[in-house]
Amino acid sequence: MNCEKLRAQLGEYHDGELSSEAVRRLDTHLAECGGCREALESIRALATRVEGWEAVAPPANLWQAIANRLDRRVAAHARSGPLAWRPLATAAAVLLVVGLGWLFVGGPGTSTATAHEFDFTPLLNNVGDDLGIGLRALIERYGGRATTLDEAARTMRVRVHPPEELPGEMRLRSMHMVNMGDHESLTFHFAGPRDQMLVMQCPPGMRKQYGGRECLPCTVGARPGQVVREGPWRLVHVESENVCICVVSRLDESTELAAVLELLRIDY
Amino acid sequence: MDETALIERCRAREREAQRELYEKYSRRIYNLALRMTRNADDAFEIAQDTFVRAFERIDSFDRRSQFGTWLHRIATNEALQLLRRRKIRQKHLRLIAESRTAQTDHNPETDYEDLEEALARLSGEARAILLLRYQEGFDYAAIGEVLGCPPGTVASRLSRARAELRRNLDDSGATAEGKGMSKHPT
Repeated sequence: MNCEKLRAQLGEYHDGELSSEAVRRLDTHLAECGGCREALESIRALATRVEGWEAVAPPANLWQAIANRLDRRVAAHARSGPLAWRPLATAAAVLLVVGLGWLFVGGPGTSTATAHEFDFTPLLNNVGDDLGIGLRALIERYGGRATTLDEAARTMRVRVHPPEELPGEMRLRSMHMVNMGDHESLTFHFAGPRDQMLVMQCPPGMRKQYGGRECLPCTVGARPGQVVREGPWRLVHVESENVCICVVSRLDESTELAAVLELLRIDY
Repeated sequence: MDETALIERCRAREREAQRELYEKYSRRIYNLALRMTRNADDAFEIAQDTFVRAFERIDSFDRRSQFGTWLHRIATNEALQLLRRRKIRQKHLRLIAESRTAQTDHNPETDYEDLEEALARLSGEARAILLLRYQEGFDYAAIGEVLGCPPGTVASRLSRARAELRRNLDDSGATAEGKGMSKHPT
């Protein structure tokens, strides 16, 4: 019997995750093989040690802190009115999963997005080695202007706190307000010595053009998304009911992108 | 009261129902956060954020999932995000320190001696998967739900995490078990 192959299953055997047939096979082998029994015992000892780690009681004031925050949110909700709150609450769900998102500028009673189509072709046609050039082409096509975190904090409902540095030594190079239908969208251009990333938000449900490039389904972390490829770049969309997050990067959407996006901290 | 009824009452923003769910899960969530971060203030913050977010977005909770799994998913994501931010912060602090002086202080990688410190040397993801399995008792399917990966991936990640933890314990010489364990890469 192949010890190496069976030993690779010992963890699942210990954790009760193997089929009954695989368990029988391992039982037979373990009865004969002292080395594998020792390896299993090693897993058991490790698991027991972690299992036996004594839990502590949470601090007595934890519930009060939670209740206070819930009260403050309810009060803020009441002040801002239901129309303003609804998109915020929905965006919160998006943020928790994707780790990034923001909302359109507007006060209580702001109308729903009416932009119907957005053409990413200028961005994709000009992206080359520098996302900044693609971004400029997009701004020329749709109109936009440079902005700052301070200005965004004053004018947008959601506060975005990009970390000082993202993996790949990427730092925030520029921020723009881009016109998108009847909405303004924030774009964040991160750049480092070896990599770049552009993050922006679109209204949900909007048709998108990519200059004939194919748009394929993908997974970002655990969420379904869509990806369009241009050379080494990937334009990835993750959409919910109220917002669509668009990211252009070289990061693998299924294994790398979600983790990087999670680093972008949001208050909402 | 059963959990489904409590969740329904939470959807109606009933504070007493929120309190009951908090009582049921707070110890587990707080301890997961504490093990992940090794810092009581961070654990407090993570536990607080987890429950606030859970109660605020309870309308989006999919009833096909277990509430506890969903809550652990929020807490794990919160903890991993905090660890990543902390890592970036520490990297900067380290670079600043290195640029100022070439002195070599103690090496934190060699002076740990117990399980907590051995776990702390793992990546956040590896720490999370070990804690979810062996502290929380989640099966691979539930861990996959928390971490957003299939059970097969859970098995391989868990195997790597165990091997790494065992190496850390073995390196430290913290336990006789640790020394024996290193012989069997599973």
